[in-house]
Amino acid sequence: MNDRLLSVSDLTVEYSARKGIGLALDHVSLDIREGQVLGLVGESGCGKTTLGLSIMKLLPRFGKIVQGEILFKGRNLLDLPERTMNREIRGREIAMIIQDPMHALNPVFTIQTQITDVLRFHKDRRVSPHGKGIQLRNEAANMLVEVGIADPAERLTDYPFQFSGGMIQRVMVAMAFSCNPSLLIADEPTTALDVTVEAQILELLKSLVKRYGASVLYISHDLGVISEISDRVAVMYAGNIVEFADTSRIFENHAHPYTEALLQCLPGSEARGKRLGTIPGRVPDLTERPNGCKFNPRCPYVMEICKEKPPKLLEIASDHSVACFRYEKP
Amino acid sequence: MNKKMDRVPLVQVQGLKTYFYKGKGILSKVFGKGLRIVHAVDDVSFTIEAGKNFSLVGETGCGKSTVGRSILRLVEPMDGKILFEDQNILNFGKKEMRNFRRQAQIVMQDPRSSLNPRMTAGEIIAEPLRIHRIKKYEDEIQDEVARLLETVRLSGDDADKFPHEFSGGQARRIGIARALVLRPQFIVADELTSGLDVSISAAILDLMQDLQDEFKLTYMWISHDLHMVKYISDNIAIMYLGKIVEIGRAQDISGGPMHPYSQALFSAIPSVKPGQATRKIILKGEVPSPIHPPSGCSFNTRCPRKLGAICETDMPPWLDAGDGHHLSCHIPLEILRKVQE
Repeated sequence: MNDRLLSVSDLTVEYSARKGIGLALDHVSLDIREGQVLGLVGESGCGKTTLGLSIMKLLPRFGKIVQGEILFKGRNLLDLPERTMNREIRGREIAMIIQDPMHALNPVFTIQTQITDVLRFHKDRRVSPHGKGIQLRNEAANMLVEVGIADPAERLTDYPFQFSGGMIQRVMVAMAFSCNPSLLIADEPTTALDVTVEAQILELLKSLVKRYGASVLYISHDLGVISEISDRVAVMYAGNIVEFADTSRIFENHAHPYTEALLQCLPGSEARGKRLGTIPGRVPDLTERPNGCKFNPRCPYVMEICKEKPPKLLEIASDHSVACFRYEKP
Repeated sequence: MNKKMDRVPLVQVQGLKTYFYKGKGILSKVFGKGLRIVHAVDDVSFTIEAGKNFSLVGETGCGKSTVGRSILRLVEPMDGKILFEDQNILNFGKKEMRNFRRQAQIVMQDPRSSLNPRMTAGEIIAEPLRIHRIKKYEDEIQDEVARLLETVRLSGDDADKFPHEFSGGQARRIGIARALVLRPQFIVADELTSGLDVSISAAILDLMQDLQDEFKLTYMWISHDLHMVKYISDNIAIMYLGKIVEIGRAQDISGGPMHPYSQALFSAIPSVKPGQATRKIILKGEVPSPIHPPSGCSFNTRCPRKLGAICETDMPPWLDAGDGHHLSCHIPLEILRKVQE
């Protein structure tokens, strides 16, 4: 079960803005094992979504992959032409659920049209046209049942605005799983939802992942959600992965000062009345990243060397890597 | 603080009802045809003591923001009483309302849409001073604006910036400064930290606590973030479909919620301690429409511990669990207590 399904190495992505060129991802390496859920956590603007979009090769026009390799099932996705990406990868092998489902779906088409579009494109090239519509419709209805939408026949003819936030996210999940992908990239799928609905969606995702045997890259800024769903966690800061370990290690034996600071910001019930730990300063702007370790202006343990060169992501224990000079042996 | 204020709670809400009318157009309003009533807030009562943190919790659409707005008469309630320092604000005339506005303020939910994009931060903060004619001279106003910006940990130079130049956390600080400029006693904080990163929302919460100490403020928090609510509140009320289903001291509610809905809500909070996740109560279905709320107990369509027909026909009784802990449920207290342990 520990085969690497996807390994990203040295991935560097540049965004060109008016102010200059910014490094959105700075030599990012990580791997996702088969059947595992990898949680990617960090504050807004740290590059989590950029990483997800790079894997799908769906970066906005001002974003450019300048270096690196994305190996998926032995193939480097960066070498594949657009046509192959569309036919074989996007939606079929790697599916994506994005943050705001209301904007992800086309408001002028019914749910049925949008789900069967995916199926038609990926699955039914060779099926004869007779009865194809009904067959696709049934398949779409089955997917809706899978994700727990009652009355699928009725709801298929509804438009996105007729669904609530939680229901539309279920539709997105149904679309994502419709071609039985090996990898699911879920970018903040529950951020806009209430806790009880969030719990429903997380439960649904967990059961589908188990049933379909898919691996997941779960992107979120919510440490609670990450701790519940992930097997391993990568913590990102300003375009770098700063810590990468098993979920239990991240939450109990974390090593990087940024991970520590993030966890201290969480209001826990025991902290009532006590001041919350805050991180001084803020995430540096894309084009004005500090030299050396990017966390150095905000780090309580900052040393001279941190301002000179960036730390490497080194393994300090089995399956636990940290990018911090406190752990680098001279 | 005088003695009278110590005895009388700052805010008392009794039987508050706020309905909205939803119809196809003006004709339906005139003839009452096709008119649908949204029961946004349906018979809500609670008290807020001076200097305390009261939180109103619930899911989207449960009416919590409407309660906040009704208390400040930003929407006009249908029925009920809102006593502020023992005076019913619903009977206030124009002049008294104007005075009341200086006492009670709100920090709106979405800073992007609640700050006028064509006014600078300085103008936004100064506007209440001008409206209430508190400061006469321009240099006094500017001094006050600069002082407030520093109070909310922004710099005095930020006065000339426009709202879009601020980050989400900073924009919220502008909203806080605007609410604070009239030196109110009472602030309604509507979803103050939603959509912010953890480190930023921690800084905002710390700021709010400092301000509370400095200006002797009373807060009413409206939130769906249970982590935050557990951390900040003295008293918590849990709302579902326009009604309060459970209310009490924060330690009682978050430590051992008794109402089946509160239990589901608290069990759903994602835990940061892996492996220690509590058994989740996953609710089925969705919140029913407040246009046609279910008869009997409004939670009966989703309740995992529904007793039977009684939940569908009769309004649940208001149970007293002691120490100001109340809840509305048909299940007897003894059984609720037992399951809770």
